[in-house]
Amino acid sequence: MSPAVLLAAEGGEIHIGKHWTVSLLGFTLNLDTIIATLVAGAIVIGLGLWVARRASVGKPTKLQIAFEVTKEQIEQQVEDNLGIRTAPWVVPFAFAIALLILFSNLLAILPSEEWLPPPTADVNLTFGLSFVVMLAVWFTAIKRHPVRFFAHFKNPMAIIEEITKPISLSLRLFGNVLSGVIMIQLIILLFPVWLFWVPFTAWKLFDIFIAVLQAVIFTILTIIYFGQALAEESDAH
Amino acid sequence: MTVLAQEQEGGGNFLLPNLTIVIEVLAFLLILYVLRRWVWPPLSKAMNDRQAMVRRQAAESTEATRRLRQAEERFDSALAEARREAATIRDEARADAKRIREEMRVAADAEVERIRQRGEEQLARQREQVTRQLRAELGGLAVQLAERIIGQSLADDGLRRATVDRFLADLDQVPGEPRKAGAAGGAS
Repeated sequence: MSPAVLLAAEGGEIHIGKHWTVSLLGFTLNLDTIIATLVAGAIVIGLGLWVARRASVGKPTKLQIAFEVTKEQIEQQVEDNLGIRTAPWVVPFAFAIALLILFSNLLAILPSEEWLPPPTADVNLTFGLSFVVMLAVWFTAIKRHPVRFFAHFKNPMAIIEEITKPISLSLRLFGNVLSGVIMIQLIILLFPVWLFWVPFTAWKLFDIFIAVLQAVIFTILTIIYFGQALAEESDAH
Repeated sequence: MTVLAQEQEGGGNFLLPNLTIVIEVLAFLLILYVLRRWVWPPLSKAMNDRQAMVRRQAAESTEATRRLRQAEERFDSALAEARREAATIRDEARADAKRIREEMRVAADAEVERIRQRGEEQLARQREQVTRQLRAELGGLAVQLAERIIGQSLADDGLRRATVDRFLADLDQVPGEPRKAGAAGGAS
């Protein structure tokens, strides 16, 4: 199997958007992205179930504390933006998004770019998540204030905004993670074998920061979109 | 159904999604369901229980502090009361001791006075008795002595008694002798 995004062996070229694919009924499936998503999802579910089974009141594990801190931060954001009582289900929704994106991004720190790239480096996952987010936001807005929701589309800018929201949300995440993958391939390509491990390791460490940061940004923007949709004052753009 | 493994050389635009997006959405919904169904409840329960425990411990701490303060106030109050009571008892004891000492002193003085009076009375009685005895014996002895001296018998009782009485009267006149017995004898 050759690299997914890199063809550095011959000619020293870097190919972006190259995936290990299968064709199903005439449609193309990015197999590496699907597998990587399943791996990240399995990690999330596995850790979640592990925490849930050992959830302790008096002596929480470090992982449980990490889960609880994440949950508390999301609850705080939801409370600040729209109020938990307004839509309490937003909290577990954003919690699942945060964990899935975080562990998908963290797959970038593994030296497995060739056969298991981070799934967030594929627009299929980022567009999929932003699509689900915007559907949930629109559904919530229509359910609570249907007249106001449709009324604010009288402004054409509002239509553009509603279109650009999911695109910017997904492409921001996709671009950041993909750039990390490209940087790794560039480092491998440009540095000699005896030296490349230095910037390679440094960038892998930086990828951790990118992974956390992008997960936080995506989650907070998701909550903000919910807050805008449920705001008492209609935003007339 | 045709399944064909291949490498996609970016033939299409990699910024456009393909059918993979459906799989990704389904995978996310599955993850969301599992987390919501089996992870979220115990995690929330643990956090809520911990918050309840913290609130309970805080309340218990406040209650314990309040009880401690009350106990200290009761202790201080009891201590002050005990000190007041001790002072009262001490004062009463001092007053009782003073009163008892005074009573004992008065009783002792009375006893001393009584004993002294009894002694004086006893001495007086003994003196009177001795005087009576001496009066009887001394009269006879004096007569005998006088008879020897003057060489005659004092047969006359009346004369003899007058002589003795006069002698005794003279004896009573001796300085430093009590007058009571002599006066009594002299007057007769």
